[in-house]
Amino acid sequence: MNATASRLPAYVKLAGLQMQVAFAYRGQVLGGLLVVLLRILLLKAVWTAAYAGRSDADGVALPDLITFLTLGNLQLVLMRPMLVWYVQRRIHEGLIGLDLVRPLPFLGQLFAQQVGATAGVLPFVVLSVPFAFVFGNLAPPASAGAALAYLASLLLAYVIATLIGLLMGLVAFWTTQSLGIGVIYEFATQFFGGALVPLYFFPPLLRTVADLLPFQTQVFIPVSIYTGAISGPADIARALGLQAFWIAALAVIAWIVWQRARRIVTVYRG
Amino acid sequence: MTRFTLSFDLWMAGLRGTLQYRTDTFIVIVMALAFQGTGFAFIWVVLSRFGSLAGWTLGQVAFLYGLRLIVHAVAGVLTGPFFGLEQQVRTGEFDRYLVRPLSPLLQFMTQRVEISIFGDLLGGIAIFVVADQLVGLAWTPLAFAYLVLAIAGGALVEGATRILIGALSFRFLASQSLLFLGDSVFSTFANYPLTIFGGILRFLFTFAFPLAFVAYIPASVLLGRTAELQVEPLLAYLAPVVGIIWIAASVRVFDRELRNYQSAGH
Repeated sequence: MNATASRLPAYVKLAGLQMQVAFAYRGQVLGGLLVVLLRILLLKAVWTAAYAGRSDADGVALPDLITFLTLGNLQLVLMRPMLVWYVQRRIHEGLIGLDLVRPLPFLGQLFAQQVGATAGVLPFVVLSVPFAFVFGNLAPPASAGAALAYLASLLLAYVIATLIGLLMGLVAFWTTQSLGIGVIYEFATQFFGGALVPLYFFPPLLRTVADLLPFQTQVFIPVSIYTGAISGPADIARALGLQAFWIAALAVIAWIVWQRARRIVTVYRG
Repeated sequence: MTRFTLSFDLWMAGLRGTLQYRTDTFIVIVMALAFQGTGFAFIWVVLSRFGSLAGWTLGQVAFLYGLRLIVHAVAGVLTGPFFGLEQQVRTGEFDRYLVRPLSPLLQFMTQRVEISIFGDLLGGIAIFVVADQLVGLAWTPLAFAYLVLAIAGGALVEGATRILIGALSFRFLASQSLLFLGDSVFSTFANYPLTIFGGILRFLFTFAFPLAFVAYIPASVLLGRTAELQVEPLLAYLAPVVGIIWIAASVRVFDRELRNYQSAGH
């Protein structure tokens, strides 16, 4: 723990650099956000047409559904796994060796950079909130307690997204083809996470599949806590517990994969 | 005629070049299928729960969705390389098209083949064939001819849009982000019945920017839904012509903008 504390300034520096990258490429960041806003507009149009004037479906009112989808898609922007692209690029350009000899654990460096990248994108996401409100809909959280639990759940979701991003990035040690995997992952998160259709509207079989995958912990669980669909201490605890379980499972897998990836690099150096 | 055979040979060479990277090819096709598959899974889940969308059944929406995917794939046959144009202009790589005896635009468009078009085509045809079973259209030779012309016309509109945005590269050295945005606009609004987006967007996409002619109007004609269109039925049948007008205009704009090319100064 002490070692980590003494390395903190270095981690902050690394994170700061990634933050600047987001500002340097602000055109791309804004373009990406516009695509998300278009998706929100599409979701509102499709769902409004599907409801066809009904006040609610399965007890879900249309404005609440649109709030759910708007928030879900906005928060996915913050969880975009830059580590996939980053690790692949460093390997392609041969700079991975440099990363490995830095006096900081490699995985720690990666986490710091993901946090920095997210911090860089955050102001742009905040700027897009009014537009998201117009294109989609946004409502305040169900209660103060829901807001707190949402923040906790969002943080856990962020750790899960980062771990998955890390795992996909490490794939580049073997295939150098992780880019495509990253894109496929983004669509899987959108769909199975519930950012296009909330999981309660899934047909039973598809719902079972979604329940077994980690993606629901990134959108469906946090946003359901925000809107109050998941409420009461027991249900919230169970939801957060499921997220914690995924963090533990993914962390173990990531650690094992990293130990193997590391050995490959040693072989190349020799 | 030589122009055609030369372009074809260049295109085939580009295709052979891209296919050398087999893992890439495979992953890119899966990527395209995942992208289009996600969009379709979304509409499928919504419709299987709610029945219809602004009066369009699941089969009819799938028909429109599949048609747009096929159009998108055909448009990409020649306009896929535009995503790399800004890079080629910045590095001065575009120089080489100016010194060879074939139109620079044709050379540029045939240098490389975007593999994702095969994923889009595969997905599009699969969805279209299933949708066709669901709606049970009686295909007359005339309807089939209209389908072929509509696909060509739609591909020209979509391709022309890429050419117009790409032409910005010569003046501003940047176009890639806008190209992605343009593609997003098409895959957001062209894949679904335009009626769901409200009056203003419907009007704009019919009269200001011909996005409605890419798939929505042709699908409405084939499905016998012309009553809901904002254009006269006759104009709807002429949808493929809109593509020809747009491509002619975009090629002229591209050639004009090309005069602003300054190379990289080396």
